[in-house]
Amino acid sequence: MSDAAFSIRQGAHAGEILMSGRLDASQCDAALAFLNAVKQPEVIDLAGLDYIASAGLRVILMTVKRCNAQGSGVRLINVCAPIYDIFHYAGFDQILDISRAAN
Amino acid sequence: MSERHVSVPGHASQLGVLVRFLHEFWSDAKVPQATAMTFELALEEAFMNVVMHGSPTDRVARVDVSLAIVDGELTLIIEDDGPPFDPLTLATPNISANLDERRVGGLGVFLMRKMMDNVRYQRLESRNQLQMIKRVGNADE
Repeated sequence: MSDAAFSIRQGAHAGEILMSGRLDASQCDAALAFLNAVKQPEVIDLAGLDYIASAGLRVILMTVKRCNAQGSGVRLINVCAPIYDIFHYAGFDQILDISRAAN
Repeated sequence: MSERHVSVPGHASQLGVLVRFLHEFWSDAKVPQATAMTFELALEEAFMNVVMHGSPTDRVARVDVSLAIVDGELTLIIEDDGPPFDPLTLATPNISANLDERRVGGLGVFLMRKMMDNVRYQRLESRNQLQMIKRVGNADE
């Protein structure tokens, strides 16, 4: 497992957000604050994310709910297999737009 | 057989110590990445429950963690000296609810139970003990 610190930043366009590292309980307030400052997130790229805890799932779900209430959608892309498994166990694959990483 | 122990105060700032403890264990006992993440998640959820429920205002609980692999079976034991708290009694979230009805939060213990082969709680004198067991696959998986 990676020790990479959590990072969240804007991607190539305003609605693209890149997350990487470990989204554990200690990082969730910062992650949610960043996401809440993005008016209309469209894509959250999780290619660099190598760990997520239930506190991180809460951040994701709150963001998707907010966008849904605004009438927009958010896609989660490049999700690695272990994190996809966690999304699956939590039932997120049934209610969110999630794409797996290529391998 | 490989076995390690660590003891920390039940404060959220100690989460990083526990992560490093697990990573040191993984460096000795090679396990698949998915299994490693399962145990990291389970330990974080259990520890954060102690942080939230196990520390009355006048003191901080002590948390002892041990991890052992014996005959292909990983066992994680988390003990604390906080007040009695059985996380397995927490309500199960409805993961079949649609997005609008889905409640945020409440997934930690649910995921722990989903991802482990066996999770048990017991009160041992003045301590809570949570034991989680999972059979480990090959590190090349």
